[in-house]
Amino acid sequence: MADAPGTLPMIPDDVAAAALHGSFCPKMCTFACPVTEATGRDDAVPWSFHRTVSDLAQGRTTADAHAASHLEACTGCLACRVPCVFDQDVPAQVRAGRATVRDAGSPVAGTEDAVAAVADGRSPYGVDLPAGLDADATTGFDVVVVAGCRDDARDLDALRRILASAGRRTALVVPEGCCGGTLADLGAGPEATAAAARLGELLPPAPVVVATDPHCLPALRSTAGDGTRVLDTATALVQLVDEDALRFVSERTRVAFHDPCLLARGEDVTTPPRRLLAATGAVLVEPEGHGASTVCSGAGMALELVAPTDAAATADHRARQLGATGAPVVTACAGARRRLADAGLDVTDLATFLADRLVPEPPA
Amino acid sequence: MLDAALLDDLAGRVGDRWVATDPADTANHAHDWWPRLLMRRRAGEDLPVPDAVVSPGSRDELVDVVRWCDAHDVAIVPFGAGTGVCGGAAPVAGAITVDLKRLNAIGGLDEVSGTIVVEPGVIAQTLEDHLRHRGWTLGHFPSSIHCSTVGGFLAIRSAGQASSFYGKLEDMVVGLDVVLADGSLFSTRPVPRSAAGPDLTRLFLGGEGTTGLIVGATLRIWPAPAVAVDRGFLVPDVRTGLDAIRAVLRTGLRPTIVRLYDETDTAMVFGGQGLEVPEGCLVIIGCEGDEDVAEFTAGVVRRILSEHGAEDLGPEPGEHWRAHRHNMSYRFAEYMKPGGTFGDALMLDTMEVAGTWAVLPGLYDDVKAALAEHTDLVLAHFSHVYPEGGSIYFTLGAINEGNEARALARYDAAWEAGQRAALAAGGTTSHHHGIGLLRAPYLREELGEVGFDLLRRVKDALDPKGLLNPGKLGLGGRGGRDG
Repeated sequence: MADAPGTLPMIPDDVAAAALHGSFCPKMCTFACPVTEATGRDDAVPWSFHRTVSDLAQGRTTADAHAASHLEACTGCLACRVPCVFDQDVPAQVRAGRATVRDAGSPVAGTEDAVAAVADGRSPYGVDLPAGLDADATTGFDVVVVAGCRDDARDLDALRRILASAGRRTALVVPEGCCGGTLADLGAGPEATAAAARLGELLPPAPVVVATDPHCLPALRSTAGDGTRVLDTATALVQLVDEDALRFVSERTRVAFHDPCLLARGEDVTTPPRRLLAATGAVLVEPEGHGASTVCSGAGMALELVAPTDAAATADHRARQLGATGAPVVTACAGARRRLADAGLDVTDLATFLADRLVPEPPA
Repeated sequence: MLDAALLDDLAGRVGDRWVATDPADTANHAHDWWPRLLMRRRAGEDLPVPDAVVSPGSRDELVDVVRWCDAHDVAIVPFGAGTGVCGGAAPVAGAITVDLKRLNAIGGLDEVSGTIVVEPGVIAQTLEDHLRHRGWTLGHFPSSIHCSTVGGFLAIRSAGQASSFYGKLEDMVVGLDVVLADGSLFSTRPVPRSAAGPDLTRLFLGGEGTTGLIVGATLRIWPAPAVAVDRGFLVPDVRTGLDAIRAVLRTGLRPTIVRLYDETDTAMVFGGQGLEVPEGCLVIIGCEGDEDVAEFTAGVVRRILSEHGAEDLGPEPGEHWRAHRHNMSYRFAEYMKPGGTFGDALMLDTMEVAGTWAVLPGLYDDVKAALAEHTDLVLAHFSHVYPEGGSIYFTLGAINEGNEARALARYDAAWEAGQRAALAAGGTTSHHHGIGLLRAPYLREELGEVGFDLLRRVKDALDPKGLLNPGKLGLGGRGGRDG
């Protein structure tokens, strides 16, 4: 930890050094930030996070409500990381900054409500967690599906139907409120660690764990046991297509795929969902901003809890780009699906889209 | 300080969340990207912050804010992305800083006429991405394209790396909307050209917000080029390179990218890639457009460069440049931060000047010599060429071993010497970065006494109370810190 006078203990040295570096960068990644674009907030420019976190680390600014307000407008989409020649991790700096202001008694908006919700076993987003879908058995699973805290029952059921049609024995695990990812995003580190540990206790042994929400992947990787592969939905399913274990009814439907940020940039997963859509005969219409250049829907870094108006503006901006394709939208992130649907878009989860096109089982 | 009751009234017009007054909330607007201000921040100085930052969300709100300022005699500092390098957006005591980033709509694309309507807060790369998705380009590629606004570019009359073909930003303006100091809205008729009296857009392009606030523009766009043919050459010296480039331009053809690096800069380019440093000067020429047009232009370029004794280095140097053309801006922090690559208290800046072909060699020699007196390293490249001349882009650096006061002193001395040398050699003090606070001391000599008085009279007529960006361009104004 940094040890300069006035330094607060929550910002690790390497994060402080990166933030200091960024605070002298001429704001080069401004163009990449979807929240800046959607809201015009000056403190959404990634440089502003560098400056705020660096000043917090150096004790040049007070860890108060003002500082907290300048740690709001990030959606954690990693778009600013793509052009950066120094591979700056802005979300990591924002998390450290949020942890610092929380430790000082000025958490970013929404933090304590989310912590309380998770402590009660509820989703930090106030979404009703799906229930009653668990498997009969307790062992012998091929795949464990872990629900995200913004998933809905229909999409989860769709994924399990697809896996079942490929002959996979599945279990569904619904975390007790949160995998820890959202709490970590809010700067609630201890509670995030505890939530991840609780999830770890819930996971039955299986060779593959599928996270339906890409935001859960980091927490699951830290939780799942050695030898367990933690995959996103598209990567898991495209392997089944490669094994010829899935068959879809071919239908030439025009669709636009919204690349979830953490899939496209965090996981480098852009081809598998397109291959899955192609396997159904869908004709892909690429929107402005796709693949690694995808534009965020505002679903990350708990933005909808911290700054709901800005999250809505970010979703509206992306919905306009997607809507311009004139095609129904498919995505592979429960958070993105909700944000875009709230913005008025016709948007379907990838699993549900695929499940609706499964070749029907022959009558027994 | 501004009266709290007044600011409450202002908040009622744009919304509470869009008026910031606490120093913790206005600190982002304490400086733009003028290196001198960054050096002061690096030295630990708490830079003065604006009394208030106001972020209107629409043109109507901006007009309302300007009228409010006029009614209450409150000065305005316009602020886009805050990446200007001359202090043009530096705060002024007693003034409000008006952040224009919320005015960032990209409007109608007229594919028949080849124009697009934009608001000033649009980030230039965002506009370019928007256009490319639709098969068009603005053709404006300054190294700050990732971080600067269209409004900022208009305010300082920016030039991009492909300006030799696409022109400078003022060449791209088909129509302009400006809020005047009294809140009235002035709009030019969006036509390709008009002889209906003087071109009034020129009162505001380059005005840096001292004559009016630009709130919209209709810009000329081009079909996105099908191909780019980039090539590198090696010429024996700067003068041969200039002769060759001039000969290319006199064919009437317009390569898109034209860059000539002096010997020192050439050594940096090759050495920076771990390559053997050759004798001579690197020339990079890029030709864009439909394939036949680009290839034809590139063929003429190769012939003329060959006639001037240039060694053809093939496509690699040009392609490398294109792939890394923004890297220097990204790497700025690596050098400038405390404990940077060259230790604490590095002085680093760029100075772009311009002159006719006749004065360009002497301008290069004189400015480089003047800068070298006060720095440890001076690099130069020539770019932004015209039939009658071109610009020189100097990069100046000095290592100061932790002594920030020495860094500032050398900075000031270098700028004074370099700008005076440019004027004495018959050049202009600024090709495309503008004036702001940095160059204000030299504008009177640049324009001449009569010219500067004319500018002041224009300013007085358009902004009689001196409320618009006071102090910038050396024009004074209410609450201004002259020069």
